[in-house]
Amino acid sequence: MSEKKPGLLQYLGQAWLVLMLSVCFGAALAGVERFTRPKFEQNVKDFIARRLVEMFGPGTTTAEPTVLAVQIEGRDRKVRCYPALRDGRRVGWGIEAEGKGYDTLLLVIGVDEQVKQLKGYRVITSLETEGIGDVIEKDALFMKQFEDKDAARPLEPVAEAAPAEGNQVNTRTGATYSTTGVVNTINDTLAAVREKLAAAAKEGP
Amino acid sequence: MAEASLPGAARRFRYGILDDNPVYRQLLGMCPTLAVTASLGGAVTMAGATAFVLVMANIVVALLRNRLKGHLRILVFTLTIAAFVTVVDRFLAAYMFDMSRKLGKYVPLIIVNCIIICRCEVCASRQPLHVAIADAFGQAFGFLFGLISIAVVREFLATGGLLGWRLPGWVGWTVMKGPAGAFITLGVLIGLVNWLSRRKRR
Repeated sequence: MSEKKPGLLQYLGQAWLVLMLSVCFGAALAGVERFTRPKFEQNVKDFIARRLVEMFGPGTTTAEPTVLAVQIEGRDRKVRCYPALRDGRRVGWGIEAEGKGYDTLLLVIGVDEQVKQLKGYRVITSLETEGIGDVIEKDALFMKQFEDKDAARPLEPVAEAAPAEGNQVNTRTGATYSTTGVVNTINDTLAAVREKLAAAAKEGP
Repeated sequence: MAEASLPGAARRFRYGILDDNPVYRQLLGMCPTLAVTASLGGAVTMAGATAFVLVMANIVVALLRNRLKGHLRILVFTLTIAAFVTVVDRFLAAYMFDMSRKLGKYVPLIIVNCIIICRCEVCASRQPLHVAIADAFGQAFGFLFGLISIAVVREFLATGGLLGWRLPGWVGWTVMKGPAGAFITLGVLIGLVNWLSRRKRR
C-alpha cells in the first residue's frame, strides 16, 4: 500500500517558522535599505567626484547626475551620468555603469562631452577575487589602456600576449572574466547612452 | 544532551576567548582570518561585523529554540545569519564606505562563517538566552583577539608600523601583505599558542 502524501497544511505546519522569519526579515531588510540607501548614494557620488578629478584633471567638479532610462542587454536600466565641470563648463561625463566580471561590477566611465573619447574608468565596487580579478582596479597598466580610446566605437578585448592596436585592449591572463567584463560593461553602457548624452551635449549645459 | 550538563554563561564566555578560541583552537572562520588581516583597521572592522551577526543570530536562535524543528534548524540559522549580514553590509556601505570597498566580498561571506552557524548549533539552539549571549560575546572577543594578533604582526612587518605610525628606517616585508604572509603568520602564532598552552599544563 502506498504511503499517503503529506498535504499543503502539513507542509505549512512544518515550515511556518521559516515562512514567518522570511517575511519578518524581508520587511526589516527593506527598512534598512530604505534608511541606508540615500547615504550610500551620497558616498558613491562623492567617490565619483574624486575619480572625475583623476580622469579630467585638478579643478574638476560635478553636479546632480542626469538619469537616462535605457535598455542594456534587453533589460530596462537607469544610468546616472555625472557631468564633469571645469569653471562651470561641462567638459565630460562620469557614467555609472553596472556589469558583470566574475561577479557584479560597478564602474564609473569617464568620457568627453560628445562621447567621442574615453578618459578611463574606475571601479566603484567589485567582488572580484583578491589577487586575481582585482587587477581591474589595481593594475595601473591595464587601466591606462582605456585612456584616450575612441568612445564612438566598441572596445575589443584581445589576449594579454597579442599586440593591441586601435581600440583593442589587452585582457589579463588568469583574470580573463574580470578584465573582459570591464570591456563589455564599458561597451554595453556606452552603446546605450551614447546618442542621448551626445544630444544633451548639443543642447548645452 | 540535558541542558543542566552544558556549560553555564560564565564558562561559555571564557571558553570563547581562550579554551575554544575560534581562530587558534577551533580553526574556524579561516577565510576572513587570512584575507582581511593585512591591516589592523580591516581586521577590527571584520571582527566587529562578525560580532554583531554572532550576537544577533544567537539571540534570535535562542529565543526560537523551543520552536525549532530538527530538520529545518540549519535553514533557520542560515536565514537568520543572512539577514543580519545584509544589515551589516548595508550599514558599512552607508557609513564606512571606504572600509566597505576594502573588505569587499568578505562581508557578505560572513554568511558562511562557520563560527556563527557553529555557535547557533552548539549553544543557542540548546541553551537559554543569557547563556547564548554570553557565548556569542565570548566567541566574538576570541575572534577579535585572533584577528588583531595576526593583523598586528602582519601590518608591523609589512610596513614597519601600525595605524599610521612608522618605525624609521624599516624595510617592509612585502610578503606579509599577501596570502603567503597570512599563512606564515597564522602558522607561527598557532604554534606559539600551542607551545604556551603545553607549558602552562606542565
